[in-house]
Amino acid sequence: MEPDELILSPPEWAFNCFPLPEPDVDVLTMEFVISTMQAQIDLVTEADTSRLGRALHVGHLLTVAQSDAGDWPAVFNARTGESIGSERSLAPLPMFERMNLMLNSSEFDHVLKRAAWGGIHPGS
Amino acid sequence: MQSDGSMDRLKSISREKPLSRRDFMQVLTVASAAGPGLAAAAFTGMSLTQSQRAEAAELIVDGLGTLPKVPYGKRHGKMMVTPICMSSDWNGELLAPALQMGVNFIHKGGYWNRVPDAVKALPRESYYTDMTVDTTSPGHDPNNFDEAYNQVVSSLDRNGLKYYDVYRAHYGWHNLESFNKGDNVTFKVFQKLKKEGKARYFGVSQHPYSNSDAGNPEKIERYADLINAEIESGVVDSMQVWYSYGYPKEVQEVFAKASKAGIAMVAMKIYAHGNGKMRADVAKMDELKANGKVGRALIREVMHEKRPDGKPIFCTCVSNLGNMDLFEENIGGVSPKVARIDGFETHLA
Repeated sequence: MEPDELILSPPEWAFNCFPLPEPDVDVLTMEFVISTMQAQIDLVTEADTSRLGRALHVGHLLTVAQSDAGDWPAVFNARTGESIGSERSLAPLPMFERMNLMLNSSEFDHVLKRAAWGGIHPGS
Repeated sequence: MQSDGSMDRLKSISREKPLSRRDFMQVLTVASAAGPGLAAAAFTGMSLTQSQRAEAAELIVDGLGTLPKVPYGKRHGKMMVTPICMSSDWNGELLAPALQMGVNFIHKGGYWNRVPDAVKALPRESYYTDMTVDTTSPGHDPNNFDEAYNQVVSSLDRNGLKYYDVYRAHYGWHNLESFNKGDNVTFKVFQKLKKEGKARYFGVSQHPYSNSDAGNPEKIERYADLINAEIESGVVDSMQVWYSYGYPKEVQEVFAKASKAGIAMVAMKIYAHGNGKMRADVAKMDELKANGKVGRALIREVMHEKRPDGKPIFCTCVSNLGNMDLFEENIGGVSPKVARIDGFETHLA
């Protein structure tokens, strides 16, 4: 099965299957989530890309939370989905760009475009 | 039969240098002896070369057998698909083995900038694929005709797929008003593309927007009502939806209604949303003859969810597969050959 070394949020949480620093901790920083997922992607090999699948799931759920300005809450409650404080983050963008590159995909072009982030259609 | 100690030694050697032909044959022998649907465990922890992985894949594919094909709902002509689909974000090494087993639907093929060689070599009519169009995704304007149209046309220009079998409205609509009984811009874009031969059927990935409080304030309060409206509109040919073990009864019921209406129902997020519950339910895994194989148990459970008339709700499912272990475990969930060996009575759509 999938690697289970991470503590993940339960399926009923708004941000389900997100990495948690400890069980039942529901307030997360975007920095923590993204650095954890980037570290997962670092472990991807030709033979095993399952950790990329985990990052893709996180990416899919984050697309929903992107603001019109292209950013995300820097701190949020993964259980309820609520933003905490007013600080914003662009930390997910390099991860989206990286996933597009690895998959030769345009899947996250719309996310990158909204943030006016470069590297659209990097594989084309 | 090799001892565990011998296999541990081979694992250790494989991490230092490529296994010799003789050593690799020992591993293949152990994998083969494990039986159909159980071979991948022998390769777990082994560092194999690409050609060794290809040989391992052949053994695993041989164990899983050819997959059956089932009707993709009743609104897609004679379209028949395997009960599990590929996805464009699968490990590229798994595409050829899946094709060999007959897997013939590629989810999100429209996102490919370049079609992988294993697929490119095939006649276009021999497989199906979809384009998930993002104007209905959160934060986008579902009334932006040009954005939706151009996403499809520009992707075809890049990847050369010629057409998409399914134009899929990604994330779906936010409320009944925006869906407007099917009379909406997204559907009009599809109609234009269909006339031009660039898309054939209209689908939706209707998601419940459960985490939208964190950003855009889009939240579906009455998910089942929206699915109902999509069924009654008569314009939706397929639905790809989040579904897993332990989902609410009202969701199961409305998906059953969609299936009964002839809409092709495709389950996704089966593992992400169900693994905790299934892992904790040993009796259920026993019942599904998949003890210790959570992915296989979940796929069997979901693909055997029944409508009131006893027929399966879902005709196929999508699973993100990143390695041979997952490939064997999850595809084993819809393999009649593995079901027979496991003693699981299977009734796919």
